[in-house]
Amino acid sequence: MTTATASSEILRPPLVEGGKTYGQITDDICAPMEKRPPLGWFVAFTVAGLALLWGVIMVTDLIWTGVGTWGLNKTVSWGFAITDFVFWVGIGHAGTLISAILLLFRQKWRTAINRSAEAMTIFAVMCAGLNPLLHMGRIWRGLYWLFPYYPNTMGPLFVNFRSPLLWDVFAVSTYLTISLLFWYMGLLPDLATAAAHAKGAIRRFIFRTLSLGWSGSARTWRNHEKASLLLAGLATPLVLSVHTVVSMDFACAIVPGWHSTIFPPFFVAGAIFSGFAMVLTLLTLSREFLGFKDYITLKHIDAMAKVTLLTSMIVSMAYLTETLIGWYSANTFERFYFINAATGPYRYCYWTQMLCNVVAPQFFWFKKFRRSPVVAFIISIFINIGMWLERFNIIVIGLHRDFLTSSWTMYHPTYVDWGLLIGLFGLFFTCFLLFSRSLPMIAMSEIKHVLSSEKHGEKQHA
Amino acid sequence: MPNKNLVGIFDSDEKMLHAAQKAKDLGLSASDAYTPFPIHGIDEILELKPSILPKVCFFGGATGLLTAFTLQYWVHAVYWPMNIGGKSFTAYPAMVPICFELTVLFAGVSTFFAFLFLRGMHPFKTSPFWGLQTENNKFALVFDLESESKAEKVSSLLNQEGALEIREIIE
Repeated sequence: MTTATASSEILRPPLVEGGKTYGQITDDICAPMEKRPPLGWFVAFTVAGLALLWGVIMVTDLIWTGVGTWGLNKTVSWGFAITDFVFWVGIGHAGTLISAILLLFRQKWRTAINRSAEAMTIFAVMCAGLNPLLHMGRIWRGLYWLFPYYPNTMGPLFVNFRSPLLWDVFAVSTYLTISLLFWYMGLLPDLATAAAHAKGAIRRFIFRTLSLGWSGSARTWRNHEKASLLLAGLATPLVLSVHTVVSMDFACAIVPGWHSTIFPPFFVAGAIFSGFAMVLTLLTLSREFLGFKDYITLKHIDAMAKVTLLTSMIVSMAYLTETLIGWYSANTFERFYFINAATGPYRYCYWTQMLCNVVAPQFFWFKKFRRSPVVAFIISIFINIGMWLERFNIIVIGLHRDFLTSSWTMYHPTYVDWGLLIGLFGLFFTCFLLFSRSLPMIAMSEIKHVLSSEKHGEKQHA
Repeated sequence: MPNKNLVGIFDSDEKMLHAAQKAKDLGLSASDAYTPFPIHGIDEILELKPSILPKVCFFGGATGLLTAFTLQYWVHAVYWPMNIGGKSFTAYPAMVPICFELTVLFAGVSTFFAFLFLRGMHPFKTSPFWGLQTENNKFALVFDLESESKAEKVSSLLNQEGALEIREIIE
């Protein structure tokens, strides 16, 4: 027993640093909710709020005028909105990966970051879902176009269940629902902890109500653990299905550069890649500004950097494969897509994408860079830009020069397109900043559990 | 009828687990434990039955699958059949994605609400075991008091095992 404990101490540095007690964990994690936030928070909140406000104004313009106010035309009929949709759904994937898949693999390091990663998923999927709705032009008809209902008052037809776009509706709404339930399930014990820790009666009442009367009895814990495991088991294939279905929006079409069987795994890897980059962005910032350095340690940054590097390699491999198959297919249009991407009018976007997604993550081969929050933050920003551009390139370069040379044209985003992009970032960061102040940002019960098993030198319990 | 409980409050999960095991050996079985995180090993000592949630999840998922299949089949083959490219009205491979999504949706939603229902949880629930800081850093072991003689044995055991405090809570 003692040898096992000793060797595990040598092999694995502790996940929670600073020799905390259970009470200190509660104090530390409840602290940002209970005291005045630092100046940086107010600055960030103001910027995010202004971006959101600008987005609201632009969306009002969009709904008032119609999608003609975007830079779209007959040839390039999908632009920023669909790019944003794929980008934000992809961001969401890392949250589910961290919370569900790493739970199934019993990776204990996830405990410090899963709560905020799950919150990120929910906010990102909200941002994603807005795009197709706005793209419909007449969003007040959304119910009729998106969901089957009976009796159908708008005509005899139902939605087309054979269209990948409809699969998307089901995939994204299921994903949002399951992510919310999973997140709330994990929050229940921590809401009770926040209630017990709260000083004021109103605050205690709110948290007590939100915790649905959580008492932490052994029977509740037993069912809670089982339910969390089941939800994780459901979320794991779900997350893979969501980006698969998103990729089918493209792969099922005949547009060159879209019509490709590699898309489902390529999109899933890209989603995890971009999502981990966003988690790195958010966590390097929040550990710095919210005082969570003992919980989100350099080991966590290191682990996330490794996943980012791995998925970067998968994505790079997919770029190569795609290009090779484009040449090998001997299809003129398919070959032209890649030549046009690399040398055509959007070549800057294409090469920036390659620089950000293929070259930038290579720094993570070195431990020194993986363990540096500053480097991790900078590279994560590169990847965020690169992955947004990747979706833009797939959509716009694929469409703007297709089969008929007479219909070739360019897509120039208008200020309303940009307004939507800015507004979505505003929405995402506003939600995340509010979350960081109002709910326990780290899963306290799970951290205590990890601490307990580290104390007792247990290895296999999770 | 009000139920009398004797509660021993500990500051470590190890001590609580040890006390629970000792009590079980002496034939004074504890009825429940309130803790800030799940304690492994307490389930066996308290002899808790396995959760029925996996079954609920399975039947929820099966309902979702059946719903998705019926809905798509009915729309495309019964209610308003449409000839699209000469394909069969019942082309089931195209139904797979929605069947999968609704299976997951129904299974997840039913598991979540079954959990709340099983534990009787709702926003206005109150519990007599609140205020012991078991959500924070304390570990409470609960004994159901059927007789006065048990109370004495239990409290001497709890004292011996290093309980910080012993309380009587009426449920």
